[in-house]
Amino acid sequence: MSISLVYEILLNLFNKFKDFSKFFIVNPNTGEKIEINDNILKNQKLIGENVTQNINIVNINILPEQIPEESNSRKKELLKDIEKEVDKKKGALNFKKDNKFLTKHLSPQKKELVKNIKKVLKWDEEKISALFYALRICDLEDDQRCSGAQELYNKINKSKKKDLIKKMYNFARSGYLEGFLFKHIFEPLKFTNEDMDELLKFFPEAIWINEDMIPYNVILELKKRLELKINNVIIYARGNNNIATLHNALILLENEWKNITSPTKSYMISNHEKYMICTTNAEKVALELQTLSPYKEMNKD
Amino acid sequence: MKDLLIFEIDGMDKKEILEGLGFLIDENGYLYRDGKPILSKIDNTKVKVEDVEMIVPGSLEVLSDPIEVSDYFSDLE
Repeated sequence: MSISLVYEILLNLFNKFKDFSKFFIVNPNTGEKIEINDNILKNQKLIGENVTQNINIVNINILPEQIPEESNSRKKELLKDIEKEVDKKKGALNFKKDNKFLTKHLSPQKKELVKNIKKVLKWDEEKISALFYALRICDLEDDQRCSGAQELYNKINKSKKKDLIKKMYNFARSGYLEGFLFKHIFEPLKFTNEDMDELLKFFPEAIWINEDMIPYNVILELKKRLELKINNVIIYARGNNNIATLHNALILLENEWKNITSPTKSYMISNHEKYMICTTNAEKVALELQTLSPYKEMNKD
Repeated sequence: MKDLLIFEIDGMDKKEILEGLGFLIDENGYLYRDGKPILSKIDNTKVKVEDVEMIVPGSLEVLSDPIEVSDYFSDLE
């Protein structure tokens, strides 16, 4: 659908229903509305400039009518015309105003990443959809559009697929996706769609602390990884509550070190990093599997 | 991505728009077309008026989940 076709559809609707409704072009970035009038429509270019990128949002504000019967038939006529004018895959009738940000492009880098994951790792549509959302939040956060990111996050929280999206977000935010593609070159079965089904249930290399976890849960997660002899594990915490859980988990871990009486395998901190994601504090702790002896523990500093 | 035209209508409620487009709505708010319930593509459950996020005119495809909406737009790329 080209701008001129958008213009043609708008022109038809505007001319037919301008006595009955006000028409606005909505800027999807700012929500700013520009009322369409005869003058604006005379200059086709102006519409092309005001619609951002390729998304043309038209708000039709139906004026209060004096005669309800007449209004009802005009409303039906308007809907019929919209249905007639806009074919499948060319347009939509939107009910939730915040849907429009879903139509936005991902940044070129993220878009390339999705394309590669689709092509190389062959993730199914459900995962790709979730990834799309996750990367959109990352884009908003990277652009410091924190309220937009929060708004989308809140929306995702109501989605039926919120768990999958949050897991994808964790992978995306922590930079694992690029690693999946890279490692796949050397291990062709790794990180494919089927492999991801397993990794989404349990990801050995990292632990993301969430609000439902207590410090002991973190220790249990580490023990699972210890049994699997995973050499390096990173724990991520975002937000003050989760960071407190992380700190308390580290205290529990240190207490375990203190209580060893014979050489024991355990995780030692190799790096502790503090950073910000938008306006939120975040921390990550890299742990390395080591054999601790009571002697080493006493001299661990 | 191709150019898209998205309509938003103020001054008509969602139920009125859906009925105007030919959907039948039962007393519990579930949507039907041609006597068949509208099902969500995500989990195959019946779609209620309040679930509807977008309608694709022409096909009258109902998008009832943010993921479906996202899918719809990413399919257009």
